[in-house]
Amino acid sequence: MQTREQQFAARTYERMLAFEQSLQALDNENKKHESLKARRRYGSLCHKMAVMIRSTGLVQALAFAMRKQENLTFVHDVAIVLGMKQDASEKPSMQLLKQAYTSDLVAYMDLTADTLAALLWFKRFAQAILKVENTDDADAAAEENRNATP
Amino acid sequence: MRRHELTHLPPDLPDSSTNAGLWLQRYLQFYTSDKAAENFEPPLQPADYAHHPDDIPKNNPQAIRTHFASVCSLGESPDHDLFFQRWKKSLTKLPDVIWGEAEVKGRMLVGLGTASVTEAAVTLHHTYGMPFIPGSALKGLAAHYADRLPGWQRGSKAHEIVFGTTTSAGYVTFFDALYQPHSGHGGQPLWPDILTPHHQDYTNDSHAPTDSDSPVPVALLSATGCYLVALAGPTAWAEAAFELLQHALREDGIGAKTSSGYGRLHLERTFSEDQKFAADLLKRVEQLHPRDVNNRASGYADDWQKLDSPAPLKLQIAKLLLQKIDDASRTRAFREKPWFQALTQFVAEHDKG
Amino acid sequence: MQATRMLFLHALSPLHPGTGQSVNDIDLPIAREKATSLPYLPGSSVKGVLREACADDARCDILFGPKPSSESGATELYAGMLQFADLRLLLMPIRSLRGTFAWVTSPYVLQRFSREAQAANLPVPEAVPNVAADQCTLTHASALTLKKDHQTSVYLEDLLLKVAAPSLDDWADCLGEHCFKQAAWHRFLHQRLCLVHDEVFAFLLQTATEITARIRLQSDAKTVEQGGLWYEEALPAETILSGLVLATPLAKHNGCSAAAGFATLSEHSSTLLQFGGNATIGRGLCNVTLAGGA
Repeated sequence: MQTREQQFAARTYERMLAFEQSLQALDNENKKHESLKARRRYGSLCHKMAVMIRSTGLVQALAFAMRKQENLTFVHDVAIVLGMKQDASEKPSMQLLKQAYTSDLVAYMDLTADTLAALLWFKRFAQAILKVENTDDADAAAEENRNATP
Repeated sequence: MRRHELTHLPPDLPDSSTNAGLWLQRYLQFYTSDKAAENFEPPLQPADYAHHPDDIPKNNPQAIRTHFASVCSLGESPDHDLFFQRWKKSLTKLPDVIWGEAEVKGRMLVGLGTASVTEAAVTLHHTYGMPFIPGSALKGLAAHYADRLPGWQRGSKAHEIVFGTTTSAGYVTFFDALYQPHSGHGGQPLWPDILTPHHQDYTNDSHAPTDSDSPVPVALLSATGCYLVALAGPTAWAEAAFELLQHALREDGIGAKTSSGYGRLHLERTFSEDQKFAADLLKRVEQLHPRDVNNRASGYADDWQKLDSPAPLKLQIAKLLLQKIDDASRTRAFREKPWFQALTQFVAEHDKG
Repeated sequence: MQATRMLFLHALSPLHPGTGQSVNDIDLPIAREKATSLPYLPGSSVKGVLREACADDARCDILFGPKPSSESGATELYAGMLQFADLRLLLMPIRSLRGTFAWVTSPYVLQRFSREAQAANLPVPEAVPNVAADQCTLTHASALTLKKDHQTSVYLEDLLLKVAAPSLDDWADCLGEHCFKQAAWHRFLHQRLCLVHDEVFAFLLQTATEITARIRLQSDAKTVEQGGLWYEEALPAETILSGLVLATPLAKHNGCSAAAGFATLSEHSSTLLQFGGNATIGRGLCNVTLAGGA
């Protein structure tokens, strides 16, 4: 019997290996640019999503991420790790958003805690498997300071 | 998108006692009209989303604009006033603190890249929801400005003393510059703003204020008003840093879109009674004519003894006064006077080259 | 004779009691107690700052113990009179849709505070109220409430809490008296004090602290350094922590009594003091108050 943490770790590892393989497949098809872009996007969310949830709350953060097509692979993987079903009539990411949207206070707190716990594994594996550091996302933040240069 | 149980709030919300930061970050609604909202919830039906995730309703620009407008209309938190007055009072009582008022000329965009569901955000005080300029931003701006001045480049002694290095902290503290109550344009600190993106402006898509290629003008929140800038440290260095900030805020500007004229501030020192008295005395001593030394020196020395200023300034005035006395050849005549001895003793104790 | 006081610390700017490195989604999280995850400021940091504040006083060595002098070794070492416990979270400011923010605490935190307060001879209300998971309790003068469809509620962050019968008036009196010298702030606390279930409080402490993105630019001031983006967590302005200070006069202390020691400590900690990390950008400015011993 695995603990919840072990489950999250094992599932996250599985999801991320599969994602890394899909990137390598792209590389082999000579689509390096697309592969790099996808890697960065996914990796950046691994680093950023938890902070986003802490700042804006689970529902806002999920809905915000899901607005963009290119974020959906990531949200899908998070949903799977959290135990959403793949064979249901709804996509796992949508099940997760809906569950967050409708849950009462206690369920909402639990789901948020679970999501943050799962995201910690995403962050750890992003560094180990995807080799993505959070700095890749920092250029926009630098933009403010860049403008200080006349 | 809010949690379901937050969808329908009491009708008198939000109001001026609503935390603006909370409202901005956690209370965005996708929809601006009730009709659109009805289609989305409640109840939630799978049909509302269809089966393709990309059918999820877009955060339409109009919704963001409406949200920003509601944030701005909150105006000023009445509670922030009490907080600000206490902050100012306790801060300006600290030793070695110099401060002043920085007035935004036009608009200012600080914290555009902060994590937010509206993409373009603004830095708001966590507890009180009013805009402010983080101490880290002021320090970064001054350090960058200094780097371009002779004698102040990164790696120079002056730069290291004021700003520190990766291994040692600087000697000057840059406090958060808080919004002064009632100083905002038209009585409100935040104003909605629109910027038409220039193709160079957003090269990085992760924080771009719109979906990348969209030509739609970007909604922004900009800050106005006056901010209490305060620095602490050894007086000469803190004053030098303050001057750097004055120039940097006027010439470079702070925050984002400074190339479009945002973020320029006029910063002016504010002096306490003590500081005013010391500055006035320094001026009087400087202008002291040799023929007046005989009559006035002892009065100036009395004033000097009343000073409650940091040692370097007291030293400067004491040395200058002794010099004036010497220039007027009165040293011998005053040598036995207690006030003269107080001056020489202070200089002996504090003048280390 | 030994004596005990309660030390209150009230943050006027964000406070970052650091932990060094951590495995966390935030790069620089605040220090938290292992068993409870409640934020705290280590007693050793408190002592360091207060020692610095008393440095000019003749009694400094008596209160804090002489500094070991490495050069001569001539100074005789002995224990200082004061011992500082960790300062633990008492009231956390949480953003609210009404009243700007609430000063939130929980039954567990108040009970723990009660036990310590008794040790410091600090009068506290006899009982700590209980509260259900989806409820909160307030004072009669609360500025936090909203009415909709006959239901009174409080909105903290993105949580909706139903309001139970007010039961915190005596607690607000007690805490206001100890933490604030001015009547205006005493009233301010009355309007904002809010007790939530321990689980809800734990959740808020995980998801409603202040998080700031910090960047370090390369020398061209245009691009971010490798590893130059990080997230910092802080306790927001208006956070209130508390903890015990114990005074044990020894023969070495030249007849300085515990009461005299506390008086010296109070006198030198009456201005703003800086605690925790990031001093050069104005973090951690706090008011310190000693209470109890009556």
